[in-house]
Amino acid sequence: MIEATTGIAGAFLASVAQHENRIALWARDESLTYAQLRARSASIACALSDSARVKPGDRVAILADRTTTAYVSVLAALLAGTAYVPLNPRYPAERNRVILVNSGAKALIVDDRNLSGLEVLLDSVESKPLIVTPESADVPLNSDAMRLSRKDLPRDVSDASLRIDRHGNDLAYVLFTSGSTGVPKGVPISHSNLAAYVANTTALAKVSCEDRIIQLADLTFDISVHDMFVSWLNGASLFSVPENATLMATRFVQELGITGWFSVPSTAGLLKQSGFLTPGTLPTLRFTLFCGEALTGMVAEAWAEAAPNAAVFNLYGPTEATVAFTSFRYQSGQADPPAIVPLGEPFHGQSVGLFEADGVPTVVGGTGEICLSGSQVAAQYWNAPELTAQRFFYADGRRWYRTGDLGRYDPKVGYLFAGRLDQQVKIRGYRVELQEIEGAVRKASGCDLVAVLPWPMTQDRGATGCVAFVAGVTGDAELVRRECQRYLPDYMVPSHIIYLPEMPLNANGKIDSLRLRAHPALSPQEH
Amino acid sequence: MTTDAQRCNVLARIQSIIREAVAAPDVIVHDGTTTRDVAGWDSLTHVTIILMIEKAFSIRLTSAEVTRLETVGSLVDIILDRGKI
Repeated sequence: MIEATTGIAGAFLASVAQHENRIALWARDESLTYAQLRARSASIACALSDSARVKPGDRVAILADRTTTAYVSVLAALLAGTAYVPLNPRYPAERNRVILVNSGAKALIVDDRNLSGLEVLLDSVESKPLIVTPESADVPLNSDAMRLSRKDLPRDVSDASLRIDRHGNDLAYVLFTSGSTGVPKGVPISHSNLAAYVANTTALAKVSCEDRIIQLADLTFDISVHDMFVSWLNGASLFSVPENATLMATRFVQELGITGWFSVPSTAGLLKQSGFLTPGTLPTLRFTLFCGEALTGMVAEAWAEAAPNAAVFNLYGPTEATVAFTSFRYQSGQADPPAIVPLGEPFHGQSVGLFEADGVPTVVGGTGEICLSGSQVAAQYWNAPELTAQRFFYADGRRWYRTGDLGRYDPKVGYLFAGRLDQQVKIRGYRVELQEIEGAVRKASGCDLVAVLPWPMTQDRGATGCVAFVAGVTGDAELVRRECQRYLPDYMVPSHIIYLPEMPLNANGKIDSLRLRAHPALSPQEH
Repeated sequence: MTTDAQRCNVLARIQSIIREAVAAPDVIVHDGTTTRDVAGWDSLTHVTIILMIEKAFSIRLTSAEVTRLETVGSLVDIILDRGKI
């Protein structure tokens, strides 16, 4: 399906040739056929290439809401031979700025809705990227950056003008996730990584050009990678739901005849809790994929009842292994559903290993760190050799990535999740390093003695929020919280800042999280 | 054809619903108000507001209409288009 020499962009163009009049994208009530999607993205790609500021192998950042422009921009970056780097309009400007600077993006594509935030975003960025505003011709920018606007975009761009001659190891995108050092870490994914993932999930869900796939995730969340490329490389149609309408997703499925769904289990849980997930609600769904956090049997069962014609798969895998790496097909109608649905078996051509801390494989049936090896695994972290050395290692003649998750193997169901090794938690499905939140609270409070706990916890060992403890000083909790909002996305901002006279320590002199967890503010009735 | 008075009437009813949903009795909205302009108007509140409006005006928004809800004014337009005034 995907040629080694033309990568994902070449595969998209092949799909366009086969399906040019089919609907490729529907977003904010605007539809684009494959031919129209190609024309708009090729136009921006050509302008990028002709600008002399952007060359193949560079990164192109995107700041856009879920409009057609966002999706067009992703393809434009790839058709220009560059890797796309999504920013998020819902992130604080400071976080987007860190991602923009760390990625070294040579260009930034912005939709009109986010032009007003550009001045703050680019403030103090020394090497200004080329600004591309494909929707707007006349809106002035309060920035000295070079700019291409709608009037600079060429029409009728031929395939020959596009830079799709990519090597498999060239990057398709760089996603930034929460980092333990206090700054987001970049995960570069190559065309080969992405091609392997698309082939595997296409086979798993038997995706075809008849499928109508819903899109619920922000571009900064790699479920969006699945939605876009599994749709477009198969000639299927992608239907984007606006950021604030996720809870109305069942209405979109019903009215638009959606056949494919991929979300975090939290979304299904929230729909269930809100009364939108009743038996038979989603008859058109043919397949459902969940990933990103533990899937409880209760949610899986409720979903299977709501979508009686859908195959329900629990997927597992970190961003570093390209969206997802293992799968387990959930069989509905179980009298006693499992507390947590298994992770299952690795995709074709991928390997899972369980290792002890010293890199020795665990004994058969034992619990160990889940490590991943195969064509979907990223080569390294972006500009972070020390982190790469910590997380990637060689054993059994293969290169492995340490996930930090614990697991064990049951021959009947495959791999099972058994907790985390480090401070990483899932908050509302987002992977979060508590150290990053602690770093922000330190900066905001001016105090070093800070500890953050995920809270309230959910049944599946995730959390819906977090709380911060600051010791040895007093201060204005609300002020600290507001300051944190400058650095952290909403889901990472502590709901409470609690000042303590001193930080409780355990016998080893480490912060005693058990005693912190017993604080009266974290009692169930306070929730 | 709708009159300015009809538009004002719909806007006033929507404002009342938004005030209740965000628990802020003093919130003032106008045609250009977006979700970002009103404190507490998060995605959960957004859906609550839509459902309250559907009940108040006896309508059901299509998914296409939901995607066009950029401002309070766009919501007023949809209600007026449906003749629900």
